[in-house]
Amino acid sequence: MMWEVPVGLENEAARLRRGDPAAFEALLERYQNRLYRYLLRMVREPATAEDLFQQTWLRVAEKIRSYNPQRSFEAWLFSVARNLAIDHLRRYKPESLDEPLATGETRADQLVGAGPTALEGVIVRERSSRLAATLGELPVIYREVLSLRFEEEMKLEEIAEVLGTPLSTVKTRLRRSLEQLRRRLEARGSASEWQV
Amino acid sequence: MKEHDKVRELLTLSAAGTLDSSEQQMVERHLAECAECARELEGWNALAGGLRRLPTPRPSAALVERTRTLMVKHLAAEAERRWDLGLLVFAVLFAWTLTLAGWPIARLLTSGAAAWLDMSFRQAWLGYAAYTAVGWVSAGVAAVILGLRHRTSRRMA
Amino acid sequence: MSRFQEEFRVIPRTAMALAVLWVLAMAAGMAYLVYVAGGSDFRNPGNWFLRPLLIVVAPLLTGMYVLMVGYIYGDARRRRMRYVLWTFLAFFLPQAIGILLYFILRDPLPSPCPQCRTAAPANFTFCPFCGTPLKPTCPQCGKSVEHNWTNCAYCGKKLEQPTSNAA
Repeated sequence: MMWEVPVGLENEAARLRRGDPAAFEALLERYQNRLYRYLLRMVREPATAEDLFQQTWLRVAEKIRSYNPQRSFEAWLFSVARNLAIDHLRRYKPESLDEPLATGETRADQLVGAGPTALEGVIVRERSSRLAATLGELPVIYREVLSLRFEEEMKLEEIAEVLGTPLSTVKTRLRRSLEQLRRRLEARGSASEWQV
Repeated sequence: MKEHDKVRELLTLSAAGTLDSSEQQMVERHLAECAECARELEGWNALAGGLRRLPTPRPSAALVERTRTLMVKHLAAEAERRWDLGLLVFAVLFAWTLTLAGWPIARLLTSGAAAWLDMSFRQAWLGYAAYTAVGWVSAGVAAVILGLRHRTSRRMA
Repeated sequence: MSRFQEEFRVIPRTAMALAVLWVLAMAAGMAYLVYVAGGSDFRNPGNWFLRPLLIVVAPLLTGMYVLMVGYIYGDARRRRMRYVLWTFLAFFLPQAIGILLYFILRDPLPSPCPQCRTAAPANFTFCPFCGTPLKPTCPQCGKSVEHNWTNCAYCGKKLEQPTSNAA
């Protein structure tokens, strides 16, 4: 990507700062799927994700000058999207922000784990939609760190930049989010049939 | 047993691929002798694999097209604004250059070619100042009139 | 083609020809003034700038002035403004103040209607010849709205997202 190749970086960043429409169109093409996926994970409703998608790209065009070419472009792009998504959630769905308590647990977390083998069964047998649905139940800050790490495959440093938190916080959130996801999947698996 | 507890904590991050080399080595060393942790790690790896393999929802072609149009429009408006500003700056500089260059020329002409007008320095200066003032006042009046007309026509549209 | 070249083409040929003629005539006239009929002012070494000023700078500035008036004529026409009035203002208001005024007050470029292709001023909401909306509009009061508004700024009606109009 942009932060890997210095020569290409100069040209592309310069063209973007100049407002070259072709450069922006290339960006849109390159990142459209990933950005939409991330927004959908954040807000969970396709209509909202579409609206935020439009707003994000407009912001990118407006605020391109605030992008520092020394840093990762992807981190900047996703942080723009993230800010819009968080603003939206704060305004329209404050309850979904569901900040976890100090112990990292939420109210929904009083579930009994069934052990590692049960988890494997859930993953192996279920369709991905079960996993996606459970993912959607997690608090937003857990959902996003899982999405950025496993779907966007961002490095920890980039995720820290997107979230605006220190590296250690990212690690902690990653760990807790995986633990909570696993607990909920196991609870689901043990409470219902194996069919989807 | 302390190492066992430490490694258990690292297992999730191992499945996420975010351990540094020393942490990774410690985990691998421990796994060689601890079957419980190995089983645990398998579970985490399965979860991580499932997350990585989630299907990617795609944006509709219509959405992308709409977004592209909006973005391009915005960029064009920005470019237009920047151009207009540059033009304005140029026009201001041009106007000032004319004003400043006009004085020596006016002075020269009144003393040289138009000497028959027989003006003193003071008269020439006053004459030029009056000419400039008349220019600015008439411009001000024209600006007000045109600006008012402009605003009403904008409102009606 | 760069932006500058594009805009340069707006100047009518007559204006360009006039500008060139004027520059040459004025330069010649000034040269006559300086070398033939000139007074003692020119021989004074303190006034070294007077000769180039009169013979080169002044004609060039005036030539540029003529070109700009020509540009205003062409530009005001394509923007469907009162181009005769503006050309007069640009020419007669001294010290290029008319030119300055023009650039501050000029209308935006007309964009073609997507349906019937006639050019309409950019601040029109509907095409005056076929009625198709040129911008996103409020379904209740018909005024033009921005794409990211949630309510119409004129009548308050809640707008549905995303705006349907392709404009």
